[in-house]
Amino acid sequence: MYCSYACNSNEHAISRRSFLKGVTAGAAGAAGFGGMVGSAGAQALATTQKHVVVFYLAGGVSQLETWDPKPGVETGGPFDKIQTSVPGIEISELLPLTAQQMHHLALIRSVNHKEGDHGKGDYIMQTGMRQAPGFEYPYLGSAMAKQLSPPDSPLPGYIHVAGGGSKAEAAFLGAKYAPLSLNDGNPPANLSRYATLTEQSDAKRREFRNKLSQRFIAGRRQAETEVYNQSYDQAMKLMSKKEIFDFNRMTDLDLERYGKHDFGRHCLMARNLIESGVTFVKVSHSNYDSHSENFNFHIEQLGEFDKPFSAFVADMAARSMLDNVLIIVMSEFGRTPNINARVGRDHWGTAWSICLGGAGIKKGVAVGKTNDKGTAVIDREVDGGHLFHTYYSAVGLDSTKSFFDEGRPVAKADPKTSAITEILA
Amino acid sequence: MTPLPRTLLASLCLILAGISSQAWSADPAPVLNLGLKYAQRDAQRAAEASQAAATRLAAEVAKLQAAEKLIVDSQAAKVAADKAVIDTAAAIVAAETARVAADKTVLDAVANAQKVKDDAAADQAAKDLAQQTATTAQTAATAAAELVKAKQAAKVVADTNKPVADKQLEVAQATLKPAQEAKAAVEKDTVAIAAIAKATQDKAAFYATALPVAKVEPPRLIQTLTHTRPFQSCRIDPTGDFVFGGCQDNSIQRWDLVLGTKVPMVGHKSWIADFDFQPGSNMLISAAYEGRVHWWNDALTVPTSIRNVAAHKGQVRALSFSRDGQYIATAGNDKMVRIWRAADGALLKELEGHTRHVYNVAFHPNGKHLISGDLMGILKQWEVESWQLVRDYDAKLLTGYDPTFKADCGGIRGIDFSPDGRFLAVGGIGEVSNAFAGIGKPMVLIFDWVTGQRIHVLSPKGAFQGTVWGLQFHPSGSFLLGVGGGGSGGMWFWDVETGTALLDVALPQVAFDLSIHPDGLRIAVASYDNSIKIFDLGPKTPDAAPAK
Repeated sequence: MYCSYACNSNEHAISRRSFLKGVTAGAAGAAGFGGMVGSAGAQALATTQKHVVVFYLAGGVSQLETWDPKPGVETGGPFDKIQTSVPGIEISELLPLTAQQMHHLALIRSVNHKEGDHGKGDYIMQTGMRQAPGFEYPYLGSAMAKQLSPPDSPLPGYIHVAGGGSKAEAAFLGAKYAPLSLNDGNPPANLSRYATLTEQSDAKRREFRNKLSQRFIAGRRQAETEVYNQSYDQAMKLMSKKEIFDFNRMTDLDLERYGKHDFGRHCLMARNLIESGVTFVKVSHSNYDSHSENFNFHIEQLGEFDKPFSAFVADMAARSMLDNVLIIVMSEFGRTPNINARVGRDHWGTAWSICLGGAGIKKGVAVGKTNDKGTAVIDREVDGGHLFHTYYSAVGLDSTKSFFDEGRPVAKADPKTSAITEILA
Repeated sequence: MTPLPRTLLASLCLILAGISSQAWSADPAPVLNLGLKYAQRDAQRAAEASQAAATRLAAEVAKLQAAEKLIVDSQAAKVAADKAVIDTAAAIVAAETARVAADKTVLDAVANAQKVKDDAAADQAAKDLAQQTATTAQTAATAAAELVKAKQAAKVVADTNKPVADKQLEVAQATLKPAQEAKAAVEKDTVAIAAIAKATQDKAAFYATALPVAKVEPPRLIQTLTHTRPFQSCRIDPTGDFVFGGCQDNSIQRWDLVLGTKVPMVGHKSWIADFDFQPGSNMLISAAYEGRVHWWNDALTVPTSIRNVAAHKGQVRALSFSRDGQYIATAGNDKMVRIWRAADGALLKELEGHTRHVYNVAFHPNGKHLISGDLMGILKQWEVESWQLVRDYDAKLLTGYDPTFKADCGGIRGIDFSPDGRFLAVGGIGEVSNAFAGIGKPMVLIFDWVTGQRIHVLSPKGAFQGTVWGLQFHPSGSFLLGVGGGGSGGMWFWDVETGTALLDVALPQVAFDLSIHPDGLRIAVASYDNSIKIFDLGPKTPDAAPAK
């Protein structure tokens, strides 16, 4: 299969691009902070607010080297399977630490969205819908930010750690539900007031800007103008919460547990952001699009993934946060059972797996099944629609309700599908 | 400034590198003239196999003849048994008729005796005679009754014998088909082996007329040895009799290069990464991605795994036997090089220093040094026995970080020393533009062993994208051979002295390893298409003249 990744698709580009617009001190740069959710005081996880963390293994992680190993068969590859903390559930030997956390997790081994294109597979996995000409569905992060964030939260509802992101993800929900991207895991730019700008001067500048804005709005009230002003307000409030981005506070012990590489720091950031009250955090890990040397690259990439991910799950459990935090490990698709001449695996949306855990999810179960060689789903086939109904149900939302785009109802999840009840707690 | 003479420079480098110039002496490149020797060996083995096949055929023919004779005998026995049943039935009828007649005679005689007895006129003599006749008739009737019983008993015996004879014939007939098939199979083998024997004899005779030379020309494909999965590795044993293939089905498959017979060696739990033969013995050591190393006794006769050890955490990538056969060096994903005692599998030393997966390892022909190479293109030279690190070599052209995919790509995929020990060759992929699609250039780096300096960077003559997976110097030392591929397969020839690409040969599929036969003519290639392919660099035996 032609690799559209090498192929300059957007999904491939996310690691090289930043859509971060940055926070500005004072009024000058605040326009770029239009992705902020409404305003007010942060609430810690002592509340029952639900949160979602997505670990996005970009490029398409191999299900055979992770959640659905088939050692010994011609498609199985060289790796063995190992027992997990849940008797009867075995995963790849490349995830030994995750295996020890399986009693907190659950697997869906029967995803078939029939899509082998990076962009289209990504769209299905992040919106629950197939792409439709002339219409954009909101991404999971934007949808969850809108529905789960406290109305007065000063915090961004959707933060994407190290992986790009776009205002387009919010679609008709509005720019304020678009992701705030922490490019390469760095805090937003200009979180602090310029050193040369006194608090008093800054206040005067804001006051002057507000006056101008009010005059402007008086004659030309429109949605963009409101969002524009809201962004300034949001930026100011976020500046007061800038400590949540102070990743220098990571302890040596935490860094040791999560790993000192980028992905380890990013997972630790995700933990800190969730603890600070952020609703939806997406952490991308690049890259798994291993058309060549699939096994060597999966050793490398999953070796980097296993430690911080398992530490994250363990921390969520140790801090009694699992009931309120939905954990999702996904890709745009899996990889072919066939091992090609480059010792690689190609794109495969036909029979693959994802991992869930936490809020609303049964602990230590595996749903769905593929055949002996992993070439087809033979039990409980699901697609993006099923997954979105399940995510919604897991965090206590009604997935059968609709959003409204200028009065037109838009299903939150594909009405032809339903939640995977076997995996819901 | 006057430049230092080259020899002095080399000596200085040796001293700087901590190597004694007396530690080894390079033999001049041997004149390879082994084609005839191995052709004669093949012809001899084929002739022996042909003789053995003829013996087996004679045995099968004898078995078939015995089966056929048994059928004939059984058929005769059956005919006799069937006849006995019929005859005994007829005998019973005849005896019964006689008994009825005898009984009537008795009745008549008794009646007559009574009549005579009652006849007052009859004298005593007549009465006695009548009575005597009646007694005689009674005796005859009794005998007739006994005969009936005897005939009935005979029929019981005949009836019992008949199914036995039927069964014997059935059994005899059942042995015929297997005997015929066995004979046919052996006959076919015999014919095939005879043809092989003829061909090998012709080849030996042809080579005797003009000693064959390996030419840097596209080699001829002479054998395709197939299995069910792609092959990762291959080696021809030092006798040149067998080729061993390490397969993705976790087995090693051994083929007789002359006869083509296949023997599986099962024991590993993952893909076979590498194996090597103990010099001067019948021992083979294999390494696989499950992290274990197996010791196989009698590898050239009846291979038996006698020991296996957990050698590395994660994959074992490569192994190498020391030239004296005492040590085995293994390299693995746990960043370690480990030294094992061949005799008992004891771990002797752990060589630390690599910071990433160690992909390859090889002993120098001088027996005094070991080279290991890793994912990052770092080569480390270790001194045998002290196991001290001597120096590092920079082979980083064979690795690279792909910022798009955020992964390191490359490593030391192929490694070999020239037979005279002057050159170290390492191969892999360089100039990677897309790590996850394997887009880069097959590349080989040549190092001068004395100075430790890289002297050549080699690639195929033509444009090609892929990896050099296997690398071996020709036993003559006159050229270096590599195989590999990307979207398709390739075999490449280089002149190491001049650093020149000599020849590119397209292969039908990606090749992951190669092994050159000790005759210097044949090349085994481990192929993605489930086969070990045997190529020949030597001259083709002329076709026999057509019969007139």
